[in-house]
Amino acid sequence: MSKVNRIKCTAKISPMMDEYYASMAHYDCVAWCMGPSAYEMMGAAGVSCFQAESSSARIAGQHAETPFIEYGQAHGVSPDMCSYAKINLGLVLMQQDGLTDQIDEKYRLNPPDLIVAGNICPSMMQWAHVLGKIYKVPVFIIDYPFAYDDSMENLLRNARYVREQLEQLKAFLLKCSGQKEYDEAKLREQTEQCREMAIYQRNISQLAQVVPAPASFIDNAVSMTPAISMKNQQAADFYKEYMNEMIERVKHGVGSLDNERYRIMWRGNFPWFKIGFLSRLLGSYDALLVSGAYGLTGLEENAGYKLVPPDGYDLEDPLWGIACGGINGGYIANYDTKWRTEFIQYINKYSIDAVIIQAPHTCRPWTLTTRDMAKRVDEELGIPAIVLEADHTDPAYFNDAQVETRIKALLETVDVRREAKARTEKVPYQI
Amino acid sequence: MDKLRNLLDEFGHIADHPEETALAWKEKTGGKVVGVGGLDIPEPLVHAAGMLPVVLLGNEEEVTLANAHVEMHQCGYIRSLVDLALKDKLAFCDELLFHDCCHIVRMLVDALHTYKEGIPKAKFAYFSPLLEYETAQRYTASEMEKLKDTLQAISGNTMTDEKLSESIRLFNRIKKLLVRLYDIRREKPGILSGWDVTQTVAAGMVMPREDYAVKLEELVDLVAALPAPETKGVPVVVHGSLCERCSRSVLEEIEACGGVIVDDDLYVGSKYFNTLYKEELAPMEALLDAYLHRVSPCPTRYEERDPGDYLAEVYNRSGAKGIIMVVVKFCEAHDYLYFTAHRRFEQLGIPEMLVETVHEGAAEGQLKTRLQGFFEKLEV
Repeated sequence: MSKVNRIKCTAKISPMMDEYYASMAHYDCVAWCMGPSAYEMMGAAGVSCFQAESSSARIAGQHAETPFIEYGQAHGVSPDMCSYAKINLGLVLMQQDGLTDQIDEKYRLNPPDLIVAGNICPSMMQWAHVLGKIYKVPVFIIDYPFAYDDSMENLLRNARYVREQLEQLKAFLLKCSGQKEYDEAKLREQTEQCREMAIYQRNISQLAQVVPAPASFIDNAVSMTPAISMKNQQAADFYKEYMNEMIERVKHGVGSLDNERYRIMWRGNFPWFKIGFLSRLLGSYDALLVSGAYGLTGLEENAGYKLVPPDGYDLEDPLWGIACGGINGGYIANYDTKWRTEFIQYINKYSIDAVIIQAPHTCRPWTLTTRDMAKRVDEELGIPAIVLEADHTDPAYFNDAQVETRIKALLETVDVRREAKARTEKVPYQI
Repeated sequence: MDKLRNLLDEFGHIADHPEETALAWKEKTGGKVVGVGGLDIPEPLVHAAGMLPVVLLGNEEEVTLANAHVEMHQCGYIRSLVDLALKDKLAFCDELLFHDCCHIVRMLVDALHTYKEGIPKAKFAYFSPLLEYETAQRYTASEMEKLKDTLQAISGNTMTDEKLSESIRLFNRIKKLLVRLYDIRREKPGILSGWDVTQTVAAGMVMPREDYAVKLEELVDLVAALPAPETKGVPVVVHGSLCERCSRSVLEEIEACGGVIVDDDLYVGSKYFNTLYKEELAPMEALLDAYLHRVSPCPTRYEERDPGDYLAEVYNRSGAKGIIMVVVKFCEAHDYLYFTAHRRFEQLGIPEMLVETVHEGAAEGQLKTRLQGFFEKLEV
């Protein structure tokens, strides 16, 4: 049984985000954003952004989600909707119905002045539409086409399409904020900060290849929010500190676990309300989540790096870098690409013993085809895999005992295969 | 009446067994059958390439094999589709062609060919869901051109503008006949049952369109000649069932409990045909125009109008007293539409009832009680 050594600077995340959300009240123009909404572009138009999914994840991470989910579901929100949206819509409806005093001050929302959504998952577009009708504010959707054809020719075509939309977004943001001109210098400055951040993120991802891993996937996941919501120098500085902490650990052979017996890849988004539970549970079996296609990504298979080498950011044409970064990501990648970008690259270099694939009940993009993926991991890579039916922010779909049983069985499978392999290797020759 | 009943039964059989007419057509013409799905594939393009477009609607058979691949909490349509593919019941299709209407269709159809040998790898078209953004409209136009090239390559045929215009005219002829049928139904509520209307529309989604146009014209003339039945039911509009036929048991229960369906906004219903192609435009422009300026909003597409306002128009012009919203469980797109429309109905004072359907069948007793209560409320 191992003690889990969390990356120390992750303790800064919660107060950092509390401060960030509180600052929303002081901005003249706030955009509510879902999905990849080109956050880097907002500040240069005088717009501040509130990232709705991160907000819901934070609420669930602090175990405060249930009243919002219940209120929403009692007022027309389907239980089958994405639970990020359920929490947000429940909170919105409570405020709209005059129940703000029943909401913890730190979760209260200031109404948006505009809404921007990145359509990698259609739910984001539909969620934005609903909010636009509730608040009667303008909505802008950035469309990211499904990359059924991931030839370079088609990816470039899609990137050009997205870039064209981002030019339209500039005009939209200025119209909403009332700012006369778009501050291109500020965009370049923020792009440079994002580029710096991306370099640290890539290093963080790659440092987890070291055995023992100096940080866990859970550390990465809880540290996602500044990269998604803030994208500024404060965020870049945070990831630099995170990276340096990992480097120090590598120098001294310190791992995230005292005894790292099982290295696991986690595929899918994360049950935010069960961070502590999963961390302790896995630690009790000397198991560590080491890698995964969520949280701090930034590995070589990212289309942005291929199209805009070396780091995915073009300081001369920031919109091009933003466009390229979004056009072949998980939600819009085809099945074959997902295998490569969400499995192979997070397994092969990470000395993985087992794979856990979360199938969140209310998130179709992360749930669909998971059974086939698990089978493929086992058959093609010889690594045992399980599919965990859970959810990212709705605790109604998480059962502690079932999850523990499944994980325990998975690790036992690893043990059995290790023993079988050891016996095979002892045989000097084949008869 | 016998003649009408025979035609309705014929259409019903064709709708339930699309493979029969498709295989007969293949034998006769030597052409290819393209199974289409995802709501927005422009069928005249497939037709003009000399192929038979068969809209894959799924059916109400029990899902078995697909349970190994698709969770029970995904929409019944996709579960049925995957199940049919695994049972080789889509083997009559030479190609599968899907429009990317939602992430469920996208992900499962994209993986489908890996589930069993012999299932063709699906081809896709991505038309931007942003109907009102110029940039997106240009992208969609280019995707339609790309689709045209793909269809020409599959069929080995060249698609001239003239051929495409001819196909568009045929599909418009069918659409106008269905518009007329629906006009008759509004004037004479109860003239046809909801299920008969559904099957009549469904047959036109799967059979050779030239044959369908002839039989449909005959059917519409027969219906037009009938006297209006004594209307005893409570007039309602039925909306929903986005990718599949509306559940037969729901439609029949509505009528058994005292309702009469005077209009609908169903996929296998008015949504399928109420947007005509503008024949004065160049054919590819006409297809694009119909996609962008559809009469009936779809929750998988993005436009500013409130779907509740459109449904209110349907409700007002039909003389209905209420709207029944049939939402396929686990269709997230529809959940969002329902949320918005429901709020609008409350503002407008339009009585509305939600019926959620699952593939494995609804709780009929509960549905009956709720429908009876709804109709009693409407009659007060």
